[in-house]
Amino acid sequence: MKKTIIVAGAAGEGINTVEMFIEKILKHSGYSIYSYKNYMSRVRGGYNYSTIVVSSDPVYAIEEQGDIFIALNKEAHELASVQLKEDGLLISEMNHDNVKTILFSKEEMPHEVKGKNAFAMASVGWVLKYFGVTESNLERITNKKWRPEVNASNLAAATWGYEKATLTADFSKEQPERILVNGNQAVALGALSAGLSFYSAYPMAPSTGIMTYLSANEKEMNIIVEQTEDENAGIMAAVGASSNGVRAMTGTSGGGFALMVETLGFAAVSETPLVVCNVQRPGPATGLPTRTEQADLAFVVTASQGEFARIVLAPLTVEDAFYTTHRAFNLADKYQVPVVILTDQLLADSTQSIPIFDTKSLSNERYLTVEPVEDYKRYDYDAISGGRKYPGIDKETIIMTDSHVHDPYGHVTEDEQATVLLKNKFMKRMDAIRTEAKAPLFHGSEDYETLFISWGSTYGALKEAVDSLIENGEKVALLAFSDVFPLSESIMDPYLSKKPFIINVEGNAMNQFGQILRMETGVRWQASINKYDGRPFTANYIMNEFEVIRNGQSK
Amino acid sequence: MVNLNKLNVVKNDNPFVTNNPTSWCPGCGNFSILDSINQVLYEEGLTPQDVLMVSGIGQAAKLPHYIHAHGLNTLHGRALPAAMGAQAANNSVKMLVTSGDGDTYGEGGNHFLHNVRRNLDLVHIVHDNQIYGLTKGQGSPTTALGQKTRLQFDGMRHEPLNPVALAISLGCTFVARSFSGDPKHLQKTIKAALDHKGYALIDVMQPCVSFNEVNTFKWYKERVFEIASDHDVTDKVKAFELAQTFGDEGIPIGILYREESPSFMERIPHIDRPLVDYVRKPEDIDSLLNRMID
Repeated sequence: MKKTIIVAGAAGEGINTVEMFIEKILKHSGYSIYSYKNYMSRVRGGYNYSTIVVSSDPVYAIEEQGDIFIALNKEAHELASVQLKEDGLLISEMNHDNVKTILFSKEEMPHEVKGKNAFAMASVGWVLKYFGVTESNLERITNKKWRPEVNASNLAAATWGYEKATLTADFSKEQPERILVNGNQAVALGALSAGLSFYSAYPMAPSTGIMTYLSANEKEMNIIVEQTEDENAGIMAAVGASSNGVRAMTGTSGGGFALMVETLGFAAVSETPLVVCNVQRPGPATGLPTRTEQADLAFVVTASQGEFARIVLAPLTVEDAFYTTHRAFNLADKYQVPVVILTDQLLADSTQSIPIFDTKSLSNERYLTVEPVEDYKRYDYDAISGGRKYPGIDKETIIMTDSHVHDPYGHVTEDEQATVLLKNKFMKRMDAIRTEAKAPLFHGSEDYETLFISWGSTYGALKEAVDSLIENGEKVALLAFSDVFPLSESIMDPYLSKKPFIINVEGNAMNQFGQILRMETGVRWQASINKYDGRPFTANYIMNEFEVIRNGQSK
Repeated sequence: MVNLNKLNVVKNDNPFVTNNPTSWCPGCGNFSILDSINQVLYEEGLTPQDVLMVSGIGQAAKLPHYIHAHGLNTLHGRALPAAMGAQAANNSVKMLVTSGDGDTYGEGGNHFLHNVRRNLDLVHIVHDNQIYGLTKGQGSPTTALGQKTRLQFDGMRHEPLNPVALAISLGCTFVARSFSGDPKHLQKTIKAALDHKGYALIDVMQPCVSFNEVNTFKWYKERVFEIASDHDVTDKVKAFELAQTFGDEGIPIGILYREESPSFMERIPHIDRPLVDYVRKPEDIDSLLNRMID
């Protein structure tokens, strides 16, 4: 069983509350959840909605149309006919001409139920019964931060809605312990698991959730979260902290990353480990602040003047965002390079029910040299990885951290030989990183004739599309790259022996990853599926485009 | 390759002093500032391992390379955010920032505003020669209105910025001015700044022998005067008034303003030791994860 619920209304009308209770309680009953927030760049009003996919099996992407639509205002009520599937159900305070409606009219509600959130909470109750949640679970509709009267009237409304429902799905499943977490929180938790001590950033949608989550847990985790005056300061403070021995990070979206570019190069030349998360949104300039796109990749892999080693990682899923962020810190310390984590608004604002993160499987590798060393060279030209010291690590060594071409001790030099040796060191690092890069995730039929290429969050919708296509008898498979730069020249070799038809799938117009793949490996795509309307991929979209490509081929 | 850290440390009592060759012009005010810093750090009983010198880019910003102490030579205008991060990571080291007038008040203006607000615990020595040196003679934020430069051929079109008045108005907790041509005064001022808990700004008047033909050693020498001993350094309004005095009416040097206020790290009480000393492991987040199960 798989159903999609859409909760729609204006900002401030309770979309988040409805979503939170539905997700929490359905997850508790054993369902898998995947939800995504679709919102406008404004504080109040507008037309926003959350899409919640509820399924007995794990879910990886949203659907465009819902099975159940909760309309929190008149505009939403009218749009229900567009956003619902043909046999979908609308929950509304008024009747709809074209859509089957569950009517919760104000007049009908008993007096004690009529709180501010009465309709929203009644809808929650109705949905819970629809999905077969037992009545005792309604007690979970409380929020400790709210006044008792509010919790009581919410519960009354939910109970009333619950009793109104007659349709009941029969489902309950024992699940191992799972958490509900979104992409921004997964990045923040990955950083904390890696021993993050300092996070400095300037607020920018859709990345702010990382900083908010860290700040909320600042005291418990004994970390410092500093809101800076601008992104230049956000990244430079992180470098200042990292060069003095703690794990540090900054986060932003593309526009803020543009401001951080100069310090990205400073981190590289000063060989300071640094993790930056760029939560992509459509650009250029202000673009679409609260929407999604995968169009910063080409910028990020070349950002900053000069040539240096860097790593760009693009988590595939919410769960992967956690483990990849943890890995980013170890890689940054190992090679003393900037690591950019590229997520996007889709991943940032997607909430998934996933197995609890396995912190026992992780270890934090710092690659430091703790004991004093005779004639220590902070910038030893032969040290491709490890061997780092920072001020105060021992009682003797003096550390110079520098932004120029420098000698092995960190002092400014214009010597030709030193210039070449420093550059060669960066290039050797790049080679080592290529070798260590994680292979792409392969998923699909072993006898594939079509191979889809994707990177980052596009994996979710593509996986669902590939699964459906295989069910329909198609011979297809996908590759999903999380380690997107640098790529080893031979990375595609294992997948080409059957000479598959290659379709590149990306959330941008220019096939940015496809171009990097071609540049680094010589492998070309034959067709592409692109999306750049600010909205996420869905499996349906990919399948329709696949059909178009196939029809084009057969002509 | 020469180990500048080791071989060039001068074998006298002062461990901060090096013989590292500088790229400063002969007669530059920077030399006197460097000597004064070395002298005060030594007299304060500090060791090179106790001190972190932070800078941006410019002739003044090269200073960390000429002193035997930890150094962090960053990018133009960005010394202060780097200093903030470094202080968050490890506030057990004494921090000094050396930067020029362009680095501090031009490219780094926004960072200056906000790190004064943070009350970072550091000594910020601005080598204020009222001109751009490293880029060869363009007007700086403190160049006088009408002064001709190698770029502003008909003279500066903008009013100069008044750094000490600005700092006082921002709530900077220690605001002083000194002169590179008066090492005794400079050392006394740096010492007072080091003893201050919080943001200590010293705007040091300094000739640029190559590019500033107006504000010469002689020009400053004829104008600087020590602030009267009865000046109440805790009176913000008086300090602001005094900060207006500049140029031909004289340039007051000394401490203009000082107040006690919690420093950056004192405002983060949940961190009770240097951040770098906390031991962290992946399981630290299990408490957060367990709360996400419900």
